[in-house]
Amino acid sequence: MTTTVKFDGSFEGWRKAAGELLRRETHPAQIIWPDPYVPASGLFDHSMPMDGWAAASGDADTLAGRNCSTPLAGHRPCPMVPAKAWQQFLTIARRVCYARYRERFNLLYRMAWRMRHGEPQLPDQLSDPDMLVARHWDALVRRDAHKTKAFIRFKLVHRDPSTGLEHFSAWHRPTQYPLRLVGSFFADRFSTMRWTIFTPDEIAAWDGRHVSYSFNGLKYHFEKWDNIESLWITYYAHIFNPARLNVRAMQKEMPKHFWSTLPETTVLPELIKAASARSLAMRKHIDVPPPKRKPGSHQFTRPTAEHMDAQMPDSARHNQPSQGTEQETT
Amino acid sequence: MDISIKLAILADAAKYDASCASSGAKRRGNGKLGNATGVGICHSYTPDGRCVSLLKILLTNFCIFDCVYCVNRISSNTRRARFTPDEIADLTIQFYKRNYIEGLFLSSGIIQSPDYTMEQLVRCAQLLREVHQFNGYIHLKAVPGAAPELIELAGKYSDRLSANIELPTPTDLTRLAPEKNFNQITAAMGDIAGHINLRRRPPTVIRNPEQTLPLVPNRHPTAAWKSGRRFAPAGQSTQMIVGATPSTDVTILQTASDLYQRYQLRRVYYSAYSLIPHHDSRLPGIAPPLLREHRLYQADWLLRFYGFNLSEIASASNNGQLHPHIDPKLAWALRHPTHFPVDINKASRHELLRVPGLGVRNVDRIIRMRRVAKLRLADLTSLKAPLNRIRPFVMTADYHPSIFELKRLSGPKLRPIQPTLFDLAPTSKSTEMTN
Ligand code: SF4
Repeated sequence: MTTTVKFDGSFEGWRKAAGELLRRETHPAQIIWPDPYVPASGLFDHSMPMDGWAAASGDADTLAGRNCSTPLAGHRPCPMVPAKAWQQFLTIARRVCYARYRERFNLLYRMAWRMRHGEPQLPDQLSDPDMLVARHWDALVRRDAHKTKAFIRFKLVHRDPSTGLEHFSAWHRPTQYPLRLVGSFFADRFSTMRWTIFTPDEIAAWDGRHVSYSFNGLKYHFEKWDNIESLWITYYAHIFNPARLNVRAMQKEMPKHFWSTLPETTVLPELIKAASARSLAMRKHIDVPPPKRKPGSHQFTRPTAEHMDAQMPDSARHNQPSQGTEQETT
Repeated sequence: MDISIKLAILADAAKYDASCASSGAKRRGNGKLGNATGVGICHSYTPDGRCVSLLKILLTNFCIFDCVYCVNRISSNTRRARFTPDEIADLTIQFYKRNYIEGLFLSSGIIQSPDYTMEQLVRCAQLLREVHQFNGYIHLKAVPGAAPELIELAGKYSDRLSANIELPTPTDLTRLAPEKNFNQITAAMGDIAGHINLRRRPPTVIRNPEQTLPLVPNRHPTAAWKSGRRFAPAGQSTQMIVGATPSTDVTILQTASDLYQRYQLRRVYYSAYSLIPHHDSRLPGIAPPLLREHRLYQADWLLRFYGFNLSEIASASNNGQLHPHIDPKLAWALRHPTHFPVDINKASRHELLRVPGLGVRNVDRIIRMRRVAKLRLADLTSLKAPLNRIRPFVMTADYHPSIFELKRLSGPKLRPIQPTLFDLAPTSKSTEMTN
């Protein structure tokens, strides 16, 4: 017999629901977790902020912690899950909840279950298969949340002539579902403005006091030109040093997937094309013969447009494991 | 002159400054526009692979000095422009509200005098903080020779200050920047370090005991801290141009580590000298490979975070130059095979940090993992680390490298080569991201 869990699709919602299920000793195999971002997965009541029975009492914290008092018949008594290990797990879970994978809630619940059934140190078992997947998704979401903070571009949509209050909006295409992780960041940074962030999956809006979210994403965004954008593009075009062209490094950090919402990328192809010519001209000016190179080492200074396209096929972006999320000297 | 033309000219003039970091300061918005997150965010990347985090511009590129490596020197016929402090403040606010930037990095050519120039820079920061209630990141250039009161004001409004050392040695500086004076620059750094130290959050934590104590004593930290007046909370940094003079990598690192120790710099930026229009004959006609910059950054990290000291780095160099094709840690390991293999299950953190291919995070992960169970080679695959590079240098519960593995590595790779000053390299990695 399986049950489909009803919850609001957020991390907090998952945590409450999972807490209740753990309390009832419900085995992971008996549960179906729907995906709030995929309408077809159904059974979602988006109008209900928090589902009734899950929100009723307690949450996963107290359950996995020390005070589980009612071991059910036929199950091993609840072992202690050290608070530190549980915190480690929650830290990962908070992000994994927003990974673009249907399996995510299942995985997390299975891990919570395992931690309560003899493997309390699961978060330290870095080579465990569940942990490997969780860490991978965690890294994807972390990176995407970071890129969301970086690549949101607000446009001025309205300025109230009497109060001077400004409304901004942004259209962004994340690779995961990071909006609920970054809302508070934007609220703190841009508290004096009013803003709305549209994504294909959900919308976040700041009214000066709260960030509200809704699952009704937009599939496209209206085009609006903001006059400051042309200044920004000018700045972008002039702050870069053509003598140091390195398209690969640029694309690694700013994948093509995001280009459509970044105004500055409209001048990218031009800049790249002009760059090799400009740096050659500079060298000629100095009147020193260009240095000898080994054949095949041209790639760095003179990538062609084709070369650039070959770097990162757009379609491959989506489920790609994140690389270089950590910067280390090795 | 139209604002966008000014912006084009003054961004062009600012691009030779390597730093665009907005890290080191952390504060909440508190109802003002902007906050600082501690790590800084790269909002865009230019086609040179570098991070755009701040609006990095010059107040003006007029300059009365004649530093030969600089496009803005008085004898260059580059096009000139000058922003007013109001224009700078407006531009910063407009960009910030659209989430293009983390804040402002403002520098300037020397106009009239160091004092006048510094005053103008401070004015911009003051406008942002006091008129626009801007709470984002501000990095100001500290002009060497400016009055101490101005530096103090600059520290009050900004998150980071930087006085550029420019070149690795006093002789280099005299040769290429005749109006500049090495001692004057370090005096400015000393000034800044003094202020920062006085207002540092107590107690002062010294991370690396091998590096000597700060020379500027931390006299009354608590009283000054309690006063609530902050001074450049993100500390100070500096920049050194690499490859414009024949100074070797080890000389460069020597100067850098002196500066780190004396003035507690957060960061030394190494900027490979770039060809500039209207080139002076005192400069080399070829830019140094960007890979050289990259190796210097790697060595810099080894000195600061991996417990290496300068003589160890020097021992892995060829006549004072870092090996262009081998990173400095591997070069050191190959020169000191007796330190290996390192036992993954028993070695100290310090020893693990010396293993080529293992970074700080992976070392910490290993230490976590080995508490649970003895580690085998297969466990290392769960680290995001290149196993091939690590293997020859480590032992695990089920694995011991053969002596031949190390020999095979050191054979061809360590052949002394003669890297020239302008040795060319095919690739480089962007080093410009976070601190
Ligand atoms: S002082 Fe020297 S380095 Fe600075 S802008 Fe003037 S000429 Fe350039």
